[in-house]
Amino acid sequence: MQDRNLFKISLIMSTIGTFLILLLSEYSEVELTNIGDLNKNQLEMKVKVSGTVISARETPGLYILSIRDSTATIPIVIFKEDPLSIGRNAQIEVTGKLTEYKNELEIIAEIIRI
Amino acid sequence: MIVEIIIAVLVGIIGGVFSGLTPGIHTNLLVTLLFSASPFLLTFTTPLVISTLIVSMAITHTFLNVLPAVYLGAPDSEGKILSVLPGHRMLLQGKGYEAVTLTVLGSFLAIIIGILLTPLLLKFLPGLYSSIKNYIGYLLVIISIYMVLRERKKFWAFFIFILAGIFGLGVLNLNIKEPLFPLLSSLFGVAGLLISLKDNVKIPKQIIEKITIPKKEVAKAMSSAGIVGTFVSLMPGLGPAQAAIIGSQLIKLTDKGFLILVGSLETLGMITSFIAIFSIQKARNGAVVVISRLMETITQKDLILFLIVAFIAGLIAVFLSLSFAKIFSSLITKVNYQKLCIAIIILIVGMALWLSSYLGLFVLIIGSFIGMLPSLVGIGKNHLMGCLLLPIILFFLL
Repeated sequence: MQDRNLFKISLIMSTIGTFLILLLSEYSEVELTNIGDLNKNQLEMKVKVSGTVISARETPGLYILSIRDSTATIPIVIFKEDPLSIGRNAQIEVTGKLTEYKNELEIIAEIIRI
Repeated sequence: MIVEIIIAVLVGIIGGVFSGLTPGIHTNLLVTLLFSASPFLLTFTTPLVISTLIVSMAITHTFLNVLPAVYLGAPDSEGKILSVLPGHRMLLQGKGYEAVTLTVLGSFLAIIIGILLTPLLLKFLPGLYSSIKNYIGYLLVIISIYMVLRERKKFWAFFIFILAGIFGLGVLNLNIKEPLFPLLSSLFGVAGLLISLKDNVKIPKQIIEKITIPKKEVAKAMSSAGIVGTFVSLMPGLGPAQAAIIGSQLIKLTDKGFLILVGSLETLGMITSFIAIFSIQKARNGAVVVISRLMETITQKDLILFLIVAFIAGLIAVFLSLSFAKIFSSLITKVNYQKLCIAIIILIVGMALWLSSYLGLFVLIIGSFIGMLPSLVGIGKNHLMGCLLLPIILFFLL
C-alpha cells in the first residue's frame, strides 16, 4: 500500500475513532452506587460512591480514608499530590477504580467532590 | 530474612526479564498482579521482602525492555532517517547488539550515579519539588511546546500531540479495565509493528564483536542524565523519550551517546522514584505506588536496602540483557521478521481482549492508526506521549 493512501486512512480513522471514544466516554458516565451494593464483579471498573469520612491515615505516598454511607464502609486510596484537606465527618463523593486488597474492596480515587 | 530477600530478588529478576522481553507488558501489570496476591504472600513473608521483589523486577525491566525496542518495529529507513530511532538505525546497519550494549551500559551507570547522588537528592529534592510543584502544569506545557517547535513539520507535530491527548483523555475516561494497556501498546507497540510490515523490512545480518566504548560520549550522556533525570523524575507523564530529547539538547550527542542517555534515563528515573517516595512522599510510577501501599512507612534503612537490591538486580540484568541480545541478534535474521511481527500483534490483540474486553480492542485499533501517523508524516514518536501529557496538564491546570 502506498504511504500516501495509508496516511489518509490513518488520519481519517484516527480522527473519527478519537471522536467516537470521546462520545463513548461521555456515555459511560458512572452512576452513584450504594457502598453495600459494590461487588467483586465490578473489580477494576470505575464506580461512584458518596459517604461520610470516618477515619483518615497515610502511608509514604498515599492517603487512605474510610467512608461510610447508610449501607456499608469502604477504604478510599488517594495519591498524595497536595496536603489532604478532607477531615473526619466530611461528606464526600468519590469516583474511582474498584480494587481488592486483603480480600476487601477499596476504591482508588480519581475524582473527589466535597 | 536475608534468604527471603535473595529469593525475592531472584524472582523479581525473572519477572523483570519476562515483562521486559514481552512487547506490551509493563512492570505495572505484573506489580498489580503481585499486589492482588500480596494478602496470600504476606501470610509467609513481610511487606519489605515483597517490596524488594518489586524493586528488583522494576530495575530488571528497565534493562531488558531495550531488546524488543531495538529488535522489533524497525521501519524501512529509506528517505525518513530523521524519524527512525537510533536503536532501529543501528539494527538496520547490523549493529543491534551494539545498540543494546550501549543502552545497557547507560542503565548500569545510572544505578551507580543514582546511588552516588542519593545523599544530594535526599537533601535537595524536597526543596526542588516544593519550588516547582505549583508550576508542574506550566512546565509540562513549555516542554510539550518545545518538543513541537523543534520539529521541522510543526503543524503535524502539534496535531498529533493534541490528537493523542484527546484520545488519551477519552480512553482514560472510558469505564474499561486496564485502559493503559490498549492505550500505550497501540500507540507505541502495534503501530510500529504495522509500519515494519508495510515496509517489508529486511533485517541485515547482525554483527557481534567487541565494542569500543566511546568514553567521551559516555561522560557527556551521563552528565546530561544526571541533570535531566533528576528534574524529569519530579514531573509526572514525562518518559525517557522526552527526557532524552531535552538531555540531548543540553549536550550534543551522537547516536551512540543518545542510546546511552536513553538507557540511563529510564533506570535513573526508577532509582529516583525510590528516593522520591522516601524524601517527598510522592509515588511517580506503579511499582512505587504498590510499595507505598504495602509498607506503612519507608525508613532510611529500607531505602538503602532498595538501592542495594537495585544494584544487584542491575548487575545481573547486564549479563542477562547482553546474553539475550546475542540470541536475538542470531535469531532475528533466521526467523521470518514479518511473521514475527504478526505473531506479536496477535499476542497484543489477545491481551487487550482479555484485559480490557471489546472496548479495549476498539481502543487498540484506533490507537494503532494514531501511532502510525508520526512515521508516515516523518516526525518523532515522542509527540504520541500527548496521550498522557495532555490529561496530566489539564489535571494540574484546571
